Order: sequence, then C-alpha cells, then structure tokens
Amino acid sequence: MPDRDGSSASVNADQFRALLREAGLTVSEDRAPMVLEELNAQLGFAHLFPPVPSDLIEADLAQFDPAFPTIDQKDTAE
Amino acid sequence: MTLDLATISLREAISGLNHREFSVFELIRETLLRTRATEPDLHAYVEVFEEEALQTALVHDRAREKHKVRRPLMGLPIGIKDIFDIAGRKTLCGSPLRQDVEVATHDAEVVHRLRRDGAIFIGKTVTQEFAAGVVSAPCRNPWDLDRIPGGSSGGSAASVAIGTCLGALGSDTGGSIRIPASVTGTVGLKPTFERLPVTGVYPLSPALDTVGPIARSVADTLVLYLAIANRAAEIARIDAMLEPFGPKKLDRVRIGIPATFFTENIQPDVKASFIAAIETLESLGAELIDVDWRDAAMARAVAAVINRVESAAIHRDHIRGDEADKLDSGTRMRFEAGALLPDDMLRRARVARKAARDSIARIYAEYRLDAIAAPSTAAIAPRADCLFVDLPDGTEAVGPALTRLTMPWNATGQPVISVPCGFDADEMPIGLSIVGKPDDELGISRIAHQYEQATNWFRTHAKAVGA
Repeated sequence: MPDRDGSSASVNADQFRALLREAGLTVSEDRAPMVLEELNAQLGFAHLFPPVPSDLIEADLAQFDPAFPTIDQKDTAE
Repeated sequence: MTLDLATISLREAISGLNHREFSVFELIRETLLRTRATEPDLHAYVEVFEEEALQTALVHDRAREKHKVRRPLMGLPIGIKDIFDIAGRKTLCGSPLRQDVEVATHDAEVVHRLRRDGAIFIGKTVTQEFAAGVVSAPCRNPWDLDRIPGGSSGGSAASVAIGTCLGALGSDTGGSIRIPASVTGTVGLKPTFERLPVTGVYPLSPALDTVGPIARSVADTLVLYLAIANRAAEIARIDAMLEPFGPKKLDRVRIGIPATFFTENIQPDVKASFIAAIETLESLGAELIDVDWRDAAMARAVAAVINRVESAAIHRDHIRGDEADKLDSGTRMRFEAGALLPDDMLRRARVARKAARDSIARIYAEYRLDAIAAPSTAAIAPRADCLFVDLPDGTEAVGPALTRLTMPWNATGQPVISVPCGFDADEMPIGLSIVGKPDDELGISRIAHQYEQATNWFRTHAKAVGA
C-alpha cells in the first residue's frame, strides 16, 4: 500500500500510473479506467471521515470492540 | 405432517423426526431428490455430498432407534457456503485460483459445532469469488431465474429458499448474509462482530467478517445461531425466548425509524413495503421513534474502505502473480483499487469507525431504543444481465445499490436480522432489517418473530424451479 497523504479526493491518470508502478501492479489499458474509477470512488469517502486526533494512540486503533460505550443521558442532549 | 421440502421449516422437520412422521433417511433422500431436480436451473451448490449425506442419515437413524441418541440438529439438511472449511473437502471460495488446493483437514469451528449437534451437510453452496461481491454467479434467484440471488452468500440463500436445505451458513462482511436473504425471501442473521469464531473461514476483511445463519423463519435462524454460538442446550427454550412482549405482541418496544439515509433513493416498491412494515410494527404495539443518524454515510464509508484495504492485503499475491488473470475482473478490480489506497485511509477509517459506533450508541441511549428498523436493501434482486439498477435518483451500480444500506452495520458491528416484508410488482421478495444493540441477537429475533408471525410473508415460498 503506498504511503502517501490521503487528503486528495481523487487521482488523475498520470498519478494513477505512478501509483501502479509504486505498488508493483500491472493493469492493462482496457481495465485501467475501471480500476481508476473504483479507486477514486474509495478516495471520495475520505471527506466523510473526521480528522485524526493529535493525541491518538495508534495501538488503540488496531482493535475494535462493538460494545456500546456507557452514555450519560446528559451527553445525549445535542 | 407432509414431508414437502417446498414449504417445510427446520423446526417442523425437527418435530416430524421426533414424532417419527419420517426418518432422517427419508428427509435427506427427499432433500437430495429436490436438489437433483432444481440444480440444473438454480446452481446453488458447488458440490453436493449425496453419498456421504445418505450414509450419515442411516447412521443417525440407527443411533436414534437403537441407542435413543438425540442431538439438537440431528438429521437436519444444512448447506455450507464454500468459504467454510469442511474436513476432507476443498474450500474453493468460488475462485479458479483455488482449484488445486488441498482438501481441508479440519472443519471450520462453526461447521464443527453444527456437525457435533447432528446436522447433515448437503453440500457446499455457491459464493461470489472470495466472498467479494453480490452476484454469486452461476447461482440464480429461485423466484426468477433471470435474476441474481444476491451475495456473497447467494447459494446459501437460494438453496434455503427452494428447499434443497433447511438452513445454511453464510458470512457477512458488507451485507453478504442480509442481502441474499432479503432478495430471496429468506431470513438472515448477522451476529455481533467478533462474537462467533471465524476459524477455518476464508477471510475477506478480518476487521469486519462475521458468520451467521440463513433459514426460512426467525425461529429456524435462531436454532442455527444458538448451535453455532455453542448454546445448543438453549434450543429447547426457543418458544419462550420468542414470546410476545405483551398482549399486542410488541407492547412498548421502542423502535427507531431512520429519517434519512436508509429511506433515501430506494425503489418505490421497497419504500412502500417498508412503510407497510413499520405500520404493522406500530399496530403490534411498538413505539416508533424518528431518528436521524447523521453518521450513517460515514459508517458505510468506513466499512467500504476497511474492506477494500484489508482484502487487497489478503490477496496481495493473487493480484500480482501470474494467475491474476484467473480472477474475475470485478473481483480483481476491487483488490487492485484497495491496494492503491493510501495508508492514511485505513487509519482514518478506523478512527471514524469508533466515532460511528459512539454516535449510534448515543442515539440508542437518547431515545431508549430496543432496535432500529430499516429496509435491508435499496433494490430488489437485479437481473443477472444488468450492471445497474434503476432508482429514483437515477441508476446505480448493482454492488453499491445492494450494499449501501447494509454496510453501516458492519462498521458498527451491531447484530441485524433481515426478514421478508413483502413483494414488488414483479413478485420479487423485499427484506426488512431489525438492528439491535451489540449482543442482543435474541432481542432482535424476538421482535422480528412477532412481525413475521403477524404478516406471514415468510410462508410464501419460491416456485419450485425444475421440481
């Protein structure tokens, strides 16, 4: 997986070819538009994500517990 | 009781066996005969274990008669999605890339639990390649053979719907149990994330993968859920577990109705069925509360990104090796795009996942919800030759159209049960999802059971193709 900034909403054809080289992937010309479209669709989801907190502890991200956190009623008033 | 595989439920089969109305051998033989008759049209199975199933049936009958052995699922015909290991069989995952794999040496843990409880495996059911998609070719929908059965557990749902097994195992990473259940008129339960073992199940996205049952009624689904959850001793108490909440059935049960996202851009017949369903819930005494989960779109994005990145990592060698051309082009495209996503996307998705879980938790707490009700899918089963479905806002690719409403619950990890809630103008099934708090599989089953019994949609069965 390329280590680059995920803030850009989409990549163009030139950037796409560079990414393919970097990732060691070979995508034929006829399939390239389909893969690029899918990549940009996924990149488009980035704007929905909140910023990563500056005090984030990376180890906390590795595991996900679906259990709901305890919620105080006062916390629910928006 | 007549042994009619077109209509019999799993619990009715248990009763028939216990009352000696038919033997295990007769039940399995009838199931296999129906499989022979329907498979040329339906293609729900990758492989049928005819000889082994009949031999096991004879062993079970002898154990029942001579030694009075009773096990909770004894003699019941069950289908297993072909990403679960069955000892002595290849796990092909619907992919030409796995034609030469060795046979599995052990059952997947949940398969082992079913076998231990007496289930008889009819065969391996068709899956979308590596469980990554919703088409499940070559399987077709038993309600209309020109349409897909949904996926990725399409073979499991189609075989249950047509009666070539009475229950089946599926997996759900982005909707792969609920989508095929919804579009084949069956019941599918996606349990809480990480509560059931996935040992021996080929992974798609480990941070999202869940396993669960598909069957013909809520009670049948609960039987299988309890078995794979290592709680088979509780199967005898299912009637008590599914008791009404009061004289009206759903008295004072608080159900959230999404005002946005889950009710937007869905086919008109799906919307009409959903509105009729929530009116039924209200008539049964449920208190309906409008809720607006503003993070639903974010939760869907979380599930999409985690799925793509993790599945690309799992299939790293497949998309770079000489055999990449053997992958289905759509599957390969998904994995390739996932491999190109920047590292930071996964990190951001993981942060967003916890935010989505916390925000839905606040909604359940604020409105004191027992469950949320939503359409299972935005569209009915698309035709197999269509890449897009028609929706009020225009056309949408089949994949997003079917997964858009299921994926948010994979992100939060909540349990969801999909039950039939009607038909569209072409008589294709439509599904209703009941979404619970984490670990409340029994609560949502109890709610879904009251709805199911009040509507009887689940008693309408697919026409017997080829039978």
